[in-house]
Amino acid sequence: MPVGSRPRTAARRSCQGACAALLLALAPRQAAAAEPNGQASLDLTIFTQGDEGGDPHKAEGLDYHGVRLGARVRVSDEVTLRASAVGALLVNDDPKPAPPTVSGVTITSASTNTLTLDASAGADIRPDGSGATLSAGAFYHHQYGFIVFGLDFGYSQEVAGGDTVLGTTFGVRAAWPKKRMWDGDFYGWSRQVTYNLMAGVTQNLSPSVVVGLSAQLTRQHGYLADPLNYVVLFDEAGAPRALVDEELPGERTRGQVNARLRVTPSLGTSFGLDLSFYGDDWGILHGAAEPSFEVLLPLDVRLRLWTRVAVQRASRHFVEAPEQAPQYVTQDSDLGSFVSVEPGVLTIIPLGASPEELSWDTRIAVFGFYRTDALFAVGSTAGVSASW
Amino acid sequence: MRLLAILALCCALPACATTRFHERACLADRAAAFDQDEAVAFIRGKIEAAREGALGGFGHASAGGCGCQ
Repeated sequence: MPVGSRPRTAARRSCQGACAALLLALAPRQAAAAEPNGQASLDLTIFTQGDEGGDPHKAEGLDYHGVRLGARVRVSDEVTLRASAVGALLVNDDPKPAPPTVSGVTITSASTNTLTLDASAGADIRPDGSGATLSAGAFYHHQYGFIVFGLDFGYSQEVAGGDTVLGTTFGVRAAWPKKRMWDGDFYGWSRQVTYNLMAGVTQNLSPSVVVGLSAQLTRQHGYLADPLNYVVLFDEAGAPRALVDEELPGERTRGQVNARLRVTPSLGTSFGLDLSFYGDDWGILHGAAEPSFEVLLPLDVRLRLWTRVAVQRASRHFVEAPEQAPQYVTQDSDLGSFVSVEPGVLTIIPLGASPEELSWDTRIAVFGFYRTDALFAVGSTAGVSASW
Repeated sequence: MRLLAILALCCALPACATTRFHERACLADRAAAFDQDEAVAFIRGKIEAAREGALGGFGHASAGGCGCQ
């Protein structure tokens, strides 16, 4: 046995036991990787969703067209600045008319076309030699009838020679939804506040295996329903008789635990498995698993494949065919029960370096989902980025 | 009891050093990253948060997203 060593098996057992007992914030493990001094990217996204089911009384088809700009610049050895902006146009299907057995109501929508803006900016500070990263960021979202401001803070710490990263993040979102209802009634602006705390640990188990464990707790309060959603009430014969507003509690506590695994037996090749389990006090249970595979092709082209499978149990407030409206009721299919399959593929193609010492690459991703309640979608993102 | 647990953890953490610096090439490779691409992660996060009752993803620092639909 080499001088200065100790039985690694016993040490690893105590390490794994200690790590399993502690769940703190998940920090970006990429801190250990060499990062470029700067990166700028431009991506175009198109996405179309079809509706052959879901809520039978609501048109849920839409087309999404988005443009994303991103930038990350290391301004010093310790400070990196980052920013992104996404502008998008959503074209929603025209709303379905009221059921013919319901009289005296008109179903409107705020607009079939919606412009959205998401903007974020932040800074990461890594004091030299400390193994710590302090992060702070701001977020803004704008669309007709919905405005959001947010702040995020994070702290991570490398320990055990960098094989273990502990960290925590805290975020808050303050939103102002406009209560212009599905039937055109207007009740002014409301408010919604979200607090999110995430904690986790990343651990290198071997030169080729890394795992991450994290837990999230989210607390929301305010107006949490969708003003454009309505609920269909039925008579004893099962025919629609009236439409009423969606009503949901003004509080929601949500929790999710995540586990992530990457096995990288050689450079450019990895096998991954991501798991999540979610529950909230609205009664929703949700589990997801995503196996993935990445391989390095000739000419340094990277190919990544994944398939996410999710199973959701409906909220207890979800009622398919109520005769009377309880205190809280929704027919939003996104809060219902379904199984969702979400495959995807991503290709990253290096384009070489320019005389200005910029390294360029392009990426193309195709993804989509299919839900067992017959909602489905397909989308694609294409982009180019430069690093220096 | 809580203090003992913390002390045990502090003693155990140095044992979590499982790789030497020169062994981390695969771990530092882009293929080993949990999140592959910011643009793809953004749109996937939006879709999952809007179309499911859960938080979406496998650990977002900004979970809760924009809250929009």
